[in-house]
Amino acid sequence: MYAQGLIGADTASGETAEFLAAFQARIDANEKIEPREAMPEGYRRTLIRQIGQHAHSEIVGMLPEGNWITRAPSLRRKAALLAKVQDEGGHGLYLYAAAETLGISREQMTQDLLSGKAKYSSIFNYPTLSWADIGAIGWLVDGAAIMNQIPLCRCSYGPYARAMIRICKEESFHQRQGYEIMLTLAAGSAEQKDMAQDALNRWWWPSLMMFGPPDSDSQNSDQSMAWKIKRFSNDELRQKFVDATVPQADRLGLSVPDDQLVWNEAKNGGAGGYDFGPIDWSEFWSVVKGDGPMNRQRIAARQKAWDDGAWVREAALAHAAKKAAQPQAAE
Amino acid sequence: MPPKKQLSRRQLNSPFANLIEAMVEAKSKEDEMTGFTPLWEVFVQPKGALAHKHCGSVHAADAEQALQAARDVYARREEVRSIWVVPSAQIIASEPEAAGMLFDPASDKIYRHPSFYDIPDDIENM
Amino acid sequence: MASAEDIFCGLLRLADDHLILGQRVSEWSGHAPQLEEDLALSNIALDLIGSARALYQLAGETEGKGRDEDQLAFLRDERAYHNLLLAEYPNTDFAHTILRQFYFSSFQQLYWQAALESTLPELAAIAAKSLKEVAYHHRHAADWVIRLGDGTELSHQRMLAAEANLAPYLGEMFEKDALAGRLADAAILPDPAELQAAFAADRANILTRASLPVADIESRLSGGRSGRHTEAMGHLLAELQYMQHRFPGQQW
Repeated sequence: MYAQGLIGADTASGETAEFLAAFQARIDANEKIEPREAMPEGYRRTLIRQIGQHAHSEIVGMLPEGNWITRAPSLRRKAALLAKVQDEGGHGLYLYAAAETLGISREQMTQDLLSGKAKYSSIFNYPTLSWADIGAIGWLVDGAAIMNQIPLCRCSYGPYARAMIRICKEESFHQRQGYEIMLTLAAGSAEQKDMAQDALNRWWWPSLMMFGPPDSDSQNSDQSMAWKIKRFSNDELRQKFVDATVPQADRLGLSVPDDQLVWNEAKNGGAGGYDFGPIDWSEFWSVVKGDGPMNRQRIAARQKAWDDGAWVREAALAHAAKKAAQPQAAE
Repeated sequence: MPPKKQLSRRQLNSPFANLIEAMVEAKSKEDEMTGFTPLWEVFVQPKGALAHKHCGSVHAADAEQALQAARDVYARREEVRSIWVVPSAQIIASEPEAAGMLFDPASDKIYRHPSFYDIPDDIENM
Repeated sequence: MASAEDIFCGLLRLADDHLILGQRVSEWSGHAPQLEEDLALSNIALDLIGSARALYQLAGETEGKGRDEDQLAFLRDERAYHNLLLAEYPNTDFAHTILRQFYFSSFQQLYWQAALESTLPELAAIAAKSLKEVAYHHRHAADWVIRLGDGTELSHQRMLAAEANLAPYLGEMFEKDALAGRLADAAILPDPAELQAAFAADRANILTRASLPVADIESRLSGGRSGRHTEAMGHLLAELQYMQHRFPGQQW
């Protein structure tokens, strides 16, 4: 659910011009590229990086929402939240599997996440402070993720595209789950309404940052577009998100925390769209570099799960080895 | 169990040969990772009359664990009738370079298709 | 004769077992030893919470005072929860979690099997649905008990520690107090005491295959059925009921 505009990519490839042209011709003909087929090294590397970031985002993304599972205010909400967080784990799993077809192991990717070498969506480095944050995440963060992910269903790499189709299908309930929570709060007591507004205030700008740096600053974006790993620019998707979301905020009776937000008839080729205020990219880069409010805690939680689970994984392998060594008659 | 250093011919021909190579390589680096949990391919048969279809993979130490993981991961929503799991390294696949040789010759055998044959319109039940 | 009050209290015990254990298992979300297991534990927690909801709804209808599943699940004092102490035992580590799951699912599978014959048709229906779920929980947990008991020296030691800590709570599952007796006599709920032999056999089979020693079933620690809990329960409820305490009387 949590693809973010790819952070940092090196699409350079050392193959011959003929090879690259032949590969490009396949992409242009909308052929899907499958695991063992010849592909430029830059294509492979960029995909591993992008799918890895996407997978890590799903896994780290379990933590902020997981923070509220044991405190969910009703059994219905508890079950929905648990199922949603579980889906995120499943989606991380599908994505790791897609990356594994490119010749990297899940263990290696996990190690890259824990060492800080691999990035994940910056949004998950913000804390979940109230129940309304669960609503805001479903509504805004999943909403932004869906904008990002639907085009990826048509990505040129077969396993990634197939994983995304599955993910998009399963995720259809996530945003609705979040918006329903917001609707309930907005229709509730003054205290609940304040809680909802506070959550919107805190999650709005980080949600806009989820689409990644402005197009003017994204290196290698052109190559990713040509290879159809990426299908829309960061700014295009961000604009789509704002245009879709502002009326939903109005419907809730909540105000978007941007005093420069204004309808502009001329935007989107005359169809109209919202102008919005400048994004604080220094905050974004500071979070990406590790200095967000929760970066250290998120990685520490993943590290602890990995370390605490080591004896379990080792025991399962040891038992399997013992069983494999036994004569077939056993059992 | 983690694969041994020497790849068998079958493993080299598997669609996951590159993965296996990477695993062997990483293993031989003796890094701090604690052993690899093997990869299994998952095939799910939906309810109805459809065949098993590949839907993804899971990591598991043994076959039973792989089956349960496949159930917990890939049957959370779907109406499933049956699941197969196969060790990824056991899959034997055709080489992409041979696709032309293997599959193109079938494309001009139009006499295998019913529309190749002319039958008058007033003949029924055919 | 079992009164409506008896049936309500009996259903509440059963519902509380499922809610409290479901709450415990859900704590693993995002923290399990591997991703596949994270999903498996969440499935189990979802099943348990699902059964709890069905049981609270039935209990609420039986009581007839208009209390819904959430009022029953969230708005009681600690002493009014009647779950097994085993269910509230902290996760501790994966060994404790999986052994607790094995014991509960072994017991509960027998329980639901017997409850298929309940004279309360709504309960028999819940039993039929839950039986399939718990059969899978049992298979999943039993396989892990064997893997961990047999796996490495470390995993074996951890399973021994888990067994030592959990064994004292096993007897409580089979206690037949006056209420359980009346409900069993009316064939509304199974007689827990009658399930002990089959449970002991299942336990001995799996522990033996896991190379773990099989001690007698102890009844050393109990009290959950009458609302006397362990220290861990207050903390569990503080989280479970956080929103109700912080914002009384609101809709969510």
